[in-house]
Amino acid sequence: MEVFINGKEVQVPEHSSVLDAINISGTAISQLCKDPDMKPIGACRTCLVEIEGVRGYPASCSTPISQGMKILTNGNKLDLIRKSVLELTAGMVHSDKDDYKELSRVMESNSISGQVWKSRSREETDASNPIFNIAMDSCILCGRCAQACQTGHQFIGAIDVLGTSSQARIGTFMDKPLLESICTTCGQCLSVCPTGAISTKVEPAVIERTVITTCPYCGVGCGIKAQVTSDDAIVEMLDDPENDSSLGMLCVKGRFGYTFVHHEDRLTEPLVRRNGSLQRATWDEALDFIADKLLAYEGDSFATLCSAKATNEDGYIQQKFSRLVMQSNHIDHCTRLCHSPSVEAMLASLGSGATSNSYIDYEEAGCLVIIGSDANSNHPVAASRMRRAVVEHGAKLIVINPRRIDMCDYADIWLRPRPGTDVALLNGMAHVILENGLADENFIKNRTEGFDDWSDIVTKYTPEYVESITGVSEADIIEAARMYAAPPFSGSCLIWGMGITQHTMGTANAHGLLNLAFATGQLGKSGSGISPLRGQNNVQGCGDAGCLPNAFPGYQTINADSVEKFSTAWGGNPLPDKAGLVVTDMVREIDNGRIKAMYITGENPLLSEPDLNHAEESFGKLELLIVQDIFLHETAQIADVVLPACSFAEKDGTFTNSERRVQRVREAIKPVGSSRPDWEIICDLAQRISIKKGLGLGDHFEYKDVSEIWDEMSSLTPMIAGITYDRLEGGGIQWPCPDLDHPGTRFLYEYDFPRGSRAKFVGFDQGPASDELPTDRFPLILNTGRILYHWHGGTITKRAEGLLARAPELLISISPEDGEKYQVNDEEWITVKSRRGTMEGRVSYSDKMRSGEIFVPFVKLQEHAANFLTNAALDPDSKIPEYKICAVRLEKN
Amino acid sequence: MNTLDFITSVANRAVNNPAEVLVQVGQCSMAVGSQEIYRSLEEKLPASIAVDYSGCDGACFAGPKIHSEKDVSEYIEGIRVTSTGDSNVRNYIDSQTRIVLEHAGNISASDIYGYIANKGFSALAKVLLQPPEQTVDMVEESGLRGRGGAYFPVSIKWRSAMSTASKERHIVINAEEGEPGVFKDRHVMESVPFRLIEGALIAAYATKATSIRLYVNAEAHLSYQRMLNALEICRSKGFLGPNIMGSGFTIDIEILKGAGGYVCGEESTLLNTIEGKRREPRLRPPFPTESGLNQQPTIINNVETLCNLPWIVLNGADEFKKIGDPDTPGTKILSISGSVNTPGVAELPMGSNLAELMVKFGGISSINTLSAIAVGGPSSGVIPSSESLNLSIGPGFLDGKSVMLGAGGVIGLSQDTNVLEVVRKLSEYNARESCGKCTPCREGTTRLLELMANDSGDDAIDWNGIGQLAEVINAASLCGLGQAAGNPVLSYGSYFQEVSPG
Repeated sequence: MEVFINGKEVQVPEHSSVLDAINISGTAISQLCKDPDMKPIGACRTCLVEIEGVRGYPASCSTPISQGMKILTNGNKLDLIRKSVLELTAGMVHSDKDDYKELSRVMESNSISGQVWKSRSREETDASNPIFNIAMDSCILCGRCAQACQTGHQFIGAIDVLGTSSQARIGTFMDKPLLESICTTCGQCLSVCPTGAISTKVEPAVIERTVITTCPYCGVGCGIKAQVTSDDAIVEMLDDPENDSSLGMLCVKGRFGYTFVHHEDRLTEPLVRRNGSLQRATWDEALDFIADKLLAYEGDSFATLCSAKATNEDGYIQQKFSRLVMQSNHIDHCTRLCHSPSVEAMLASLGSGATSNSYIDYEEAGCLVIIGSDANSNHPVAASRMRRAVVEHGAKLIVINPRRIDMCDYADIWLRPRPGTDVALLNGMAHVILENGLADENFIKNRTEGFDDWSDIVTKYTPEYVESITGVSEADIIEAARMYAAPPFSGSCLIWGMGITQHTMGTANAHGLLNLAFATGQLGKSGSGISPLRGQNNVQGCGDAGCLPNAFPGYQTINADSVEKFSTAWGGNPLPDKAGLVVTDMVREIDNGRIKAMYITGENPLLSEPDLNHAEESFGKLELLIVQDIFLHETAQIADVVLPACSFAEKDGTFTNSERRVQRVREAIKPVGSSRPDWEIICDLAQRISIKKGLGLGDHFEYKDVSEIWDEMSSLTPMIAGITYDRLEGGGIQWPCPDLDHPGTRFLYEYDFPRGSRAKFVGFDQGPASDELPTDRFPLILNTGRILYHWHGGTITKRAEGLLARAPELLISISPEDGEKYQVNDEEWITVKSRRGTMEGRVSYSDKMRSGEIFVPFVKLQEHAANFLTNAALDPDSKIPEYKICAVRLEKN
Repeated sequence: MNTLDFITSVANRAVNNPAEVLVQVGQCSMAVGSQEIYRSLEEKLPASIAVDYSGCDGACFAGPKIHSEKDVSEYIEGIRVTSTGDSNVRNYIDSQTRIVLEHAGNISASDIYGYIANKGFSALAKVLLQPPEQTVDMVEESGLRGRGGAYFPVSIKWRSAMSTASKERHIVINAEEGEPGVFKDRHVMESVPFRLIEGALIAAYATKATSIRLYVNAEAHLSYQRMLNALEICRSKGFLGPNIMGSGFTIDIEILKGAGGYVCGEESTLLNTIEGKRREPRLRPPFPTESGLNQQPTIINNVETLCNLPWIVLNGADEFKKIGDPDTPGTKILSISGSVNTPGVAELPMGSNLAELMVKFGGISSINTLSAIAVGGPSSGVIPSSESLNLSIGPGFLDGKSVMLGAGGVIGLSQDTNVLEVVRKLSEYNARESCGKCTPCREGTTRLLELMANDSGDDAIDWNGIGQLAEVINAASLCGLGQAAGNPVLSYGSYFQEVSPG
């Protein structure tokens, strides 16, 4: 459409606002309350214009354009009105600041200097949040912060404009301090504030450059923009509206958790154990030390753990090193401890172990089922998109969780099964679907196999029977099944987390979910799909890159063909041809004396393993332990050599997020100390070993930069063959992307499955709820998980001051009823014991908890950690430990 | 039973059962004992004499009043009471043109029989038997405009909502009536609650609405109670709910209490509060008829507007157009108060002369007994009484500048009233009631008060500065209320700046 701005013709897209047109034309106009990424608010009344044929002075932000519209941004009367409104605005602020950011610039460009109006009194600053303040003396009540907190971005709704007339202010429900509200400290409000009224307690220094990269925390894969000073310090992290996964959102960890990069605890030099203690060494000393020792363990006695925090390129090099140089397939990573049951089940039933859909499918779905996932804490930005589906689009939401997680606030139905009874519950829902004609007969007939065997199993799971096992009412089971199978519009998504997987029946649980999707055909179309939410920034990519004992990159299973393919690609050298050990088996084989040397990058098993006392004993038996990381964590402390690696902020590469989107990681600052990128360290080591031993492998670890590594990996991996660094400059690409012209894939399984034309039903009966059940001595069930302010074991987040300030100590959540029963008071410091160990923490009475169950996050704070208590019982199929259930008791200190 | 049989059978039963004594109980007459009179009669009258209450007839000055064929003075000993047959009252009522207020004060407000006996619901019956579009055409033909203050043509609003494709379409009855000096919607709901229900049902059937909500000012307790009761009766008698009057038409009316505050009467704010959102206006476009309640097309009509519909349906558009002004046919209910002798509620033809009606219905000897008239509440302004001689009531600015009829509040100001003080009060009201969303209204109305502060005497006030700021507030504010918040001072500036303070 053409419109005329001050007489100049401008081409603008249909459905633009007049303000859009003005901005496209490059004409300057104040727009204090209009955020570029949010809908107009219309509060500041400074973007007023004159439009031919329209009465008065409409606000351009909220006026749609029409063909040929003639718009004036200036005029005697108009300028006077705008100036008067800006003067009224200026009368609202009166802090001692001299820079009000956008407001100051607008005042300057409208030639407003000095105050026309005496500054009026304003409310007090809310300084309760440890990271940022809301200072009303700098606030012009534009409303952008409230919009960002609500429907503009986050769908949290912690803040809004309170009060009316001159008492209007930004505040929380019941006007409490921000810290006592439901605020999650995501800082979205701060990011949109045009005056600096909401700003961090410490003003960021002068920014020299911005580096666009990818968040290092969870698997959502948010875009971040590091703000870097001239002396190489990241002082602020901004969201990236251009990023298709995060759409300009960030959570508290993404926005404020970057400070660990500059923490004084960062490893800056290699350390080698001499005379029993770790001592500083040069890179030559450390790497030669390793090169001398390591080849003694070539083959079956060597194992390596790769890092789901490192890049795809790091992971690719590490598995290549293990297979090619060390001749060992004992390669694994942390997915074993989180989503291996999902992967096992999906590989068996579909032939691929990835999330089938994209976050956009949550937004387009008619029904979301969130089971065993506290997405608000663990995948906050994906959770915002789920809330958008519910609030903005009217999607139905079913939450299945023994805890009353925050997402229940938005749920149509909340099912609260007894821990460990998910198989029965999912079979029960399937029973209802089959009995009531809600199944997708066509999908079952044309695209699945194994239906009859499965339906035989499901037959006996009547709602009545399932109620007796799970404690979920018949009516709720039926309603949930109906809602999932027949959403009000579009399709249904299944979204799950560790509550499904970290059980001795983890794989059976995952199959139960897949079976529901197959029975209803909620797969392979927009607004539907199956989503195991990935916990680590690159846990998807780490598996994609081949950091698995049984597969080369791209899930190419180890067999004669694949061995030959990779052997040829890697110079015709021999490769081990049998699948290696998974991490949980590695620990057992250390005990058995089979594994003698380990090379661990970016993992801390002595915090993440279950039954930590036993794990520590096992790792202590290793003859050679090499740890490569950014901090001297528990595992590093018992290592023989510790190598300082770069953090995400100091290197180039790619991460692949939970929706299969490959995204660039870029070097924002120079490596801290003498730290080096993981891939570079391993390549250097490979060269040294090759020379010492005359292996002639040096050329295979010679890379100019990371894009060469990517190119090698993608040339060997069909699903990412079409992705190049050049293409990634234009934003992330979702695999499968088989060729250079392929746009990437939003959802999988539209026509067939990697295993063939049919997905496979795999039925399971409900087994024992858990390996360990409550007894008189240990009467309570301990559930573990994560909290918003800490990431996993906390190695990183307890070194991010803002996050630690938000959650400084371990809280033991318990129902008030149990608190009385076991005579522990709210806020009392107590001990929790299991058969295996002990930890301490502070009691927190919580209405989220059911009597008989307690919850402790597995972050280690003040030397206390839940994994001293947890049970190493394994799911037989995936070998995942049962983190979610063990029996404990409370003791007063 | 078909629709006509239904109405006949209910009507027969109704006519056969009238109460002999009606006490007019309304919000203001309760202040002079009407409730006590009703209770006393209910208790003391012999069982053979049925007593009931109606709403008031609008002759507030004469309250409390009873309507009775029999002499019941012995039962209300010691309480002063006026008969509805009193000549002053009759004169006051009979001089009006009553459409909305037809039968107000002389039919039961507690039960449906009085309304039915006076052709109540026969308009709805007629509408239910004709295609919906025919009713919309009739409303268009009648020229009916909204009576909430904006005087927007009803049929255009309806058709806009009807042309928006949606599974659901809502009608919201705006009974917020928040501005000071206006009490006509309360009066209507208290006295002819069934007429409002009938009007709303006619609108709903004509526009194919799927829901109706009645949004009553949270402080209008009596209106709320009367409507609640009337709705329940209509449901129990088949006038509301499933299969209305045997026609197959099904709809209900949900009654809601307002969220409190002048701005809740602003229609998009009203919608926000129904949805549980902060009470502040929405941006337009989209208009409520395109995206209103729950983002679905919504028609928001004032109480008085809807109450015109039964009369138009029964008497025809042509008859309606014979009343009032050619451009704005029909009547307007005025709330007359202030320094007048006979304050009350009067329904008069559009186009009536302001000075004449003040004299006649205010019961004053001459317009010169007033110094000024505050017309249309805080969104409008004040004019010298002498100016009112040339003004007639209708849409838009009556004087072409700053004074609007609005919802029809007219307050007479005596010769010794300090008009500047009145303007200050109106401006204070605007500042206090600003929702706080947009800068010109929130900040500007407060600054107006600062400029009007009389620390150094009223003579020192900078009327130029005030005028400029008021114009900025009006030009730049977001909603209709903000866009009128400068009017009181603008009217003062243009009419009284030279003559006052005197």
